[in-house]
Amino acid sequence: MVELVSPAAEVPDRTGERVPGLPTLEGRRAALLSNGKWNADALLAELAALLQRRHGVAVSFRFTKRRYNHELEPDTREEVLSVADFALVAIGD
Amino acid sequence: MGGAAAPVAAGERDVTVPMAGRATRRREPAGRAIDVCYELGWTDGLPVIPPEASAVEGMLAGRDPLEVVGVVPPLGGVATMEKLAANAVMAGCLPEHFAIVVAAVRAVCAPEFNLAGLQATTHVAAPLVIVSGPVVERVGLNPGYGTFGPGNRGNASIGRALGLVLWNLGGARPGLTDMSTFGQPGKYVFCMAERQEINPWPPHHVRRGFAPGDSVVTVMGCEAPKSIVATNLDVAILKTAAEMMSTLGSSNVHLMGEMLLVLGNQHARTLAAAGWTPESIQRHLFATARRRVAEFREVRTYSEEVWRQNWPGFVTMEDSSTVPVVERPEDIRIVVAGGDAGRFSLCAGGWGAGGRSVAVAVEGEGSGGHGGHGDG
Repeated sequence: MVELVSPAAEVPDRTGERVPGLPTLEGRRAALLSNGKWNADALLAELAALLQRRHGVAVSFRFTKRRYNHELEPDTREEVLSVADFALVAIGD
Repeated sequence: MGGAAAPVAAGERDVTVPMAGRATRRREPAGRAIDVCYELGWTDGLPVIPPEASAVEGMLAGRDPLEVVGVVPPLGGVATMEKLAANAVMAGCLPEHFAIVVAAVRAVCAPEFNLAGLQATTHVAAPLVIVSGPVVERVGLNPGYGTFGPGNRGNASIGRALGLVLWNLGGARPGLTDMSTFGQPGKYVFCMAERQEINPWPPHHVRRGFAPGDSVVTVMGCEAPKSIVATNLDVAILKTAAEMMSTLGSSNVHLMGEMLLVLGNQHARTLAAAGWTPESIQRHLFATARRRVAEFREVRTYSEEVWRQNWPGFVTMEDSSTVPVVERPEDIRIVVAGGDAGRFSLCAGGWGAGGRSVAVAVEGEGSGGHGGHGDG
């Protein structure tokens, strides 16, 4: 018999709770967050138009990440929270 | 392991991770140890040396097994010395290689390296370990013929140890957390050493602000190296290098970041004899390794907004304006290595400003502590 030392991560099971969904989209304010790739922008534009047409959603904030591979800056996240009811995120390549 | 959750500093941010206790141990029949490593998902596909407790203790060589070196994303595994030693044993490291592995892990866990992004990106980049300074000779690394491999236990096992750390502690799994479209061979082993004996200039780590007697590990997220063949004339070397560095398929021209240029012996000697220095080479390539804005509009890899945000301010967005491969000349990182024969150099793109290379002094070598992230 040999005694082996685990080289692997020992982290707790991660539990999270989903944020409750909005009861309705009618008249809500949306933030559009793009990673800056062409298809992300196209997808967001289509979705925003669809939501405006069907639910009267207004786009209150648009943001394109300077660098797609960095996290969203905390200041931007705070701004989204203050001016929008929900955010659409697109990462289309 | 046991222990309650406790905050562990991960650079500028605090993240909550479990208290770093002793690693789990298990007893297995000796003949099955390698199979157990596979069954438990501890290997990257290649065989490993089973991390037996006695070998892990030998690798630690008296270090505190509970010392935390970093937290490895995206899984968030705590890189204790003991965990790193287990991975180093599996990779085939000798105890004298371990301080280099530790420095490499410190480097990739620095916030500016952005390992979370590098581990998860669809890009092909992998962390390249560049070792420079006296430790190269002292532990017998190979900076010469075949420095990228194969043939040297130190180069191979140090590179593999970092790969296993990213696998076991970072949880990099292709298609699940590691979304690299293709991966690359460097995700198994990606380690080279600088060859100071033939370097006509100060070594890479000195140009980053370290002392000449320091030994330093620099880790950089890199594409696979591309060959630059050029006759031994300075103008030919620089023109060819500029051509190779400025391809539209590289993320650099779109998003900047850093680029690695590994000059072979013949090219380094030719350039030095003609009066070039690393700094003048950087400035020259910054000015000549360029693409016109009109070409970007043809390929549309990113949006104009992203280009405006990432390109240096002097790029006017006119079709005729030219775009460099990095934001500033010093972001072209120059290293001298390789064998004496062959009129070759290499270049490797970064991964588009996703993170910065980080240099960390090897503990116990030269003046080095582990705080230095030299830049410049």
